Amino acid sequence: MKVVSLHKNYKSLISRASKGNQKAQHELFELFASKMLSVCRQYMKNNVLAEEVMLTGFLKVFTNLNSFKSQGSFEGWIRRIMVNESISQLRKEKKILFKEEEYLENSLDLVAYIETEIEVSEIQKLIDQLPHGYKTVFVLYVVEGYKHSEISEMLEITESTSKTQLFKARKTLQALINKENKISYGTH
Amino acid sequence: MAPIKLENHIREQLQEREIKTSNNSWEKLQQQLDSTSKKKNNKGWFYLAASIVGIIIISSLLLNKQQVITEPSNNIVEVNDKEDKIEFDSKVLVSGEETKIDDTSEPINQKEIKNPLRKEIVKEEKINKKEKLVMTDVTILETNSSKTNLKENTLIVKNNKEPHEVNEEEKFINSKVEEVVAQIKKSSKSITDEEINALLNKAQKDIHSKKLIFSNKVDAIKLLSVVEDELETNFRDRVFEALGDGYEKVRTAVVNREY
Repeated sequence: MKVVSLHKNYKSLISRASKGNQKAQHELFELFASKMLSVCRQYMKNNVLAEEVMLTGFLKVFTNLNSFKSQGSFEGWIRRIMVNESISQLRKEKKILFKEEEYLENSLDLVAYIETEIEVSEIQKLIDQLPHGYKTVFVLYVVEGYKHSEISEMLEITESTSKTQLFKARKTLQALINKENKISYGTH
Repeated sequence: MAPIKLENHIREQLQEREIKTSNNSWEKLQQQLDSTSKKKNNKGWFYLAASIVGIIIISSLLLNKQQVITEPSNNIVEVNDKEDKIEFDSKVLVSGEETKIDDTSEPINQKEIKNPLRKEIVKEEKINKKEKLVMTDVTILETNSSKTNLKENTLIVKNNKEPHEVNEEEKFINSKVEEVVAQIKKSSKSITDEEINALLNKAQKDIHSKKLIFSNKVDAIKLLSVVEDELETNFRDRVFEALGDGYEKVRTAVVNREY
C-alpha cells in the first residue's frame, strides 16, 4: 500500500513539476538530491564538484520531465541522468582517456573477501585513489550494475577495454585493501 | 564472522549512502531554472518576430511581382492629340525601320522638360505588306512631377537589337546603297533590267549575310530567306531614292522582276 501511494505521489509531483510548478520541483529535489549527490560523488573527486554536476543533472531532469515515461522507475531515470552528466563532466575535463587494450580471457577474475566491514567513507577513499578510467568502469560495473556492452557504449570504448579497465581496477583496489590485511582471495 | 564479498559490500554501502547537499543548493538550481525559462521565452519571441518578418518579406515580394505583371497592361499612352488614347499590351508591333527609336532608358531630367507632355513617337508610315514586322518591346516610363502636378508620359521604344549592332548594320546598308547607285549611274545609259536586278540581288545577299554575322546566331528562317533571294522593299526603296533620275527605269526593272 505504501509503495502504491508513493508512486501516485511521484506521478502527481512529476506532472506538476513538468508544468513548471516550483513547489513540486522543490519537493522532488528534496526527495532525491542526497541520493543523487552520492551517485555523482562516486565519479567526482570531492563533494563540491559532485554537487555542481548534480545541479546540472537536476536542471536536465526538470527541463526534460515531459520525456519521462511513467512505465520505468523515476529514481532510475534520474540516476541515469546523473551518471551521464558525471561522465560528460569527466570528458570535458579530459580526465578519462582510455588506451585500447586486449583483455586476456584466461586471466582469473579473483573474488576478494573481507573479514570485517569497511565504512562507506573508507570505501570512497579507496575508490578515489583509483585512476579516473579504472574508477569509472569499476563504479559503473560493480555499483550501478551496467554490463560491459553498455559501458563500452557509454564511454565510447571497446568491450575489451572495459573489461581490462575493470580487471586493473580490481587489482589496484585489492592491493590497496591488502595493505591493511583485510582481504582474502577466492575464485568465482 | 563469515568473510564478506568485497564488491557486494562496496555496492551495498554506496547504494545506501546519502550525502547532504549544501544549504543553498536549491536556490542555485532555482536560479538556473529561471534563466533557462527566460531563454526559452526569449527564443519564443525571437521565433515569433522572425516568422512575422518572413511573412512581411514574402508578401511584399509577391505584391511586387503582381505589380510588375499587371503594370504594362494598365498603361495608357497619350499621343500628341490629347483625345486619342492608345492602349498598349506588353508588346506592340512597330516597323523597325520606320519608327524613330528612343533607346535612352535614363531618367528624364525634370529641368529640361518644357512641355508638360513629352511624347516621342515621331511618325508612322505605311507598312508594306511584304516587310517583316519587328517585334519591339515597349516600355512606358511614367514620371510624376510633384511640383508641377503634371503627368508626363514618355514612350520609349526599345529595339531588340543592340545600338552598336544597329549602327554597324545601318552603315553597311548605306554603303551598299551607295555602291549600287554608283554602279547604276556609271552605266545608266546602257544598263539593262537584268543587270540592275543582278546588282540588287548581289547587294541584297551581302546584306543578308552581314545581318547573320551581326546577329551572332544562325537562324534557320534567316538562312531560308537568304536562299529565297527576296529583296527587301526597304533596301530597294532606298536605292530608288538615291537614284533619283533613274528611278522610273529601275522601278520598272524591279516590277518586271517580281512577276
